[in-house]
Amino acid sequence: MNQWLDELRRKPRLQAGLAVVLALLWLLGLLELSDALDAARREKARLIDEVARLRTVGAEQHWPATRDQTQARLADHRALAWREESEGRMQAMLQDWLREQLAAVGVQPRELVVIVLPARTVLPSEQGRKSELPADMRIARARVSFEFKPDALHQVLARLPASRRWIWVSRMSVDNDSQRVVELELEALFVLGARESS
Amino acid sequence: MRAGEGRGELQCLARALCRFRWVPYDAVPPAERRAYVRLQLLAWSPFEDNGYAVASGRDGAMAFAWDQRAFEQRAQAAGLPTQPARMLPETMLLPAHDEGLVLQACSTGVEGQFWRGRQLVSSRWWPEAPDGAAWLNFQRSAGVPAAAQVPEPPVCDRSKGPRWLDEPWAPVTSLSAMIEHARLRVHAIAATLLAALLLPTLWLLHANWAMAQQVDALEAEKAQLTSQAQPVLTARSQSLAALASLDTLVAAVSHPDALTLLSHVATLLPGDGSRIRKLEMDGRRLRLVLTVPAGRPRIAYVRALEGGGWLQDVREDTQDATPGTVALVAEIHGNMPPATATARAPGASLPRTGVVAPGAGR
Repeated sequence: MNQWLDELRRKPRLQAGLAVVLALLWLLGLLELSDALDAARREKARLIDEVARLRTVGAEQHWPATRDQTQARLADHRALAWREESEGRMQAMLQDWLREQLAAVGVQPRELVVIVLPARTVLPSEQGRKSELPADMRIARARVSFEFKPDALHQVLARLPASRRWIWVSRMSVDNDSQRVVELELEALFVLGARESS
Repeated sequence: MRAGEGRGELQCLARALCRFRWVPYDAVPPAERRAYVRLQLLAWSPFEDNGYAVASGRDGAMAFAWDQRAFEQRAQAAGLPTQPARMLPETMLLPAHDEGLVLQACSTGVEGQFWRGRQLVSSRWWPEAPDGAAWLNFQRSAGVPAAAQVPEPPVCDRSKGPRWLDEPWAPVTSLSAMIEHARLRVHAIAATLLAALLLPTLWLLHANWAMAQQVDALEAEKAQLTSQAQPVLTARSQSLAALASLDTLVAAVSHPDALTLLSHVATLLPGDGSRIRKLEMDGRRLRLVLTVPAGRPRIAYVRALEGGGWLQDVREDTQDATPGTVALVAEIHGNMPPATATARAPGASLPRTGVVAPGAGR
């Protein structure tokens, strides 16, 4: 060490080189400090926004009531969904229910097929937004066709709301000409879970 | 050696104790002359521990060197300061000359001098006046042109004693001052560079520190506000989550009511004998094929279907046009006709009475 220091004292070029290296390191340190200052400024701006938002939100005392109302509405909507423990049961249950309704109005179906759409089905809304169903919800789709008789079609459609569950017509084709056939595509909203005891 | 004006500030050094050297620098750039002289004197170094007095001339530097250690011992023995503020060889305090050879009487001995352009370019000390041979040798070593050389030294009247000047005949500096000057310059540059680095460093450190204080204060305020607003925040996030789920459910179950649509279409169609031949509803798109009386304008049906406000953008579909029929397509806006559109739950949506079935127009 002493030998190195002696050599450093003797050689001005070595001193100058060392000084340049130290100055460069110092400059790098300055740049780091400058970057840290910029980051701190950004953090400060973010915190100012956050504090302002918290003040605004803290003053909004209506949220607990809004939450209760929204959750109640959500519960009401979910309560209107069909409920079965598996996709297979959904399929069977909807098919049974539809056969029952068709039989009740004296309609003999030419075709009745029920499928369950995969989980997380994405549905386009009327506003063009796409929404994804919750993981525990499914849509079962039934395709029914039968001979077209105006009164029968009316009665079939009128029986759908009688279920007091979510079921709707997503596609309907009425041929009142030579074939006289009705094709309905019905969709029902299910919750995957144990049935409520009635 | 004598004390200057009795204050110990100036000590005059006898010529007998000094050595002289002329350092020509007329070929050296003016900016580098000091460094050049400094290097030449350091290389010369006639004693182990040297003291220097240097006077700069037009063509070169006149340098006197002495044994510093011997001087300090003598000064100590004589009771004089060993580190006086200023030390000068007595030659600098004796009269200067413009040109030529001079034999100058000193406090001790005599000094042969050769002047050129008021610069002392050569000097030699003798304890006694030199003889002719010594004088000739001095002239030759001093580079006096042969024509100007004289065989005998000039007469030196030593009875009067030296005539001292109050100030040296040329500004005198010491080698240490020259070195110090160079060192000072280096130090000044280093200090400037250091300041150039230190000032922004200090400013940045202070700015970072101040910013950290402000960020800490904001963090503390945020933590306090968060704890105060936690119930509201929780309720808000739960509300938003529930609202998103509700929107999804509403979007999933939001479809035009088929039975109401059939009734609506049947109601809107004019009672002119036209009847629905085909009806296709796919999502929010409706396609109708009507059998119409001959000569009946198509606009009557378009106008009739648009009349309710539920069906919009009604237009004729010419792809499936056959004689006596009109194919129309329309967009269904909303789940119910505008007059009856309300938020509905299953079982509460359908008209209970007055429903007109498709084909009612037959």
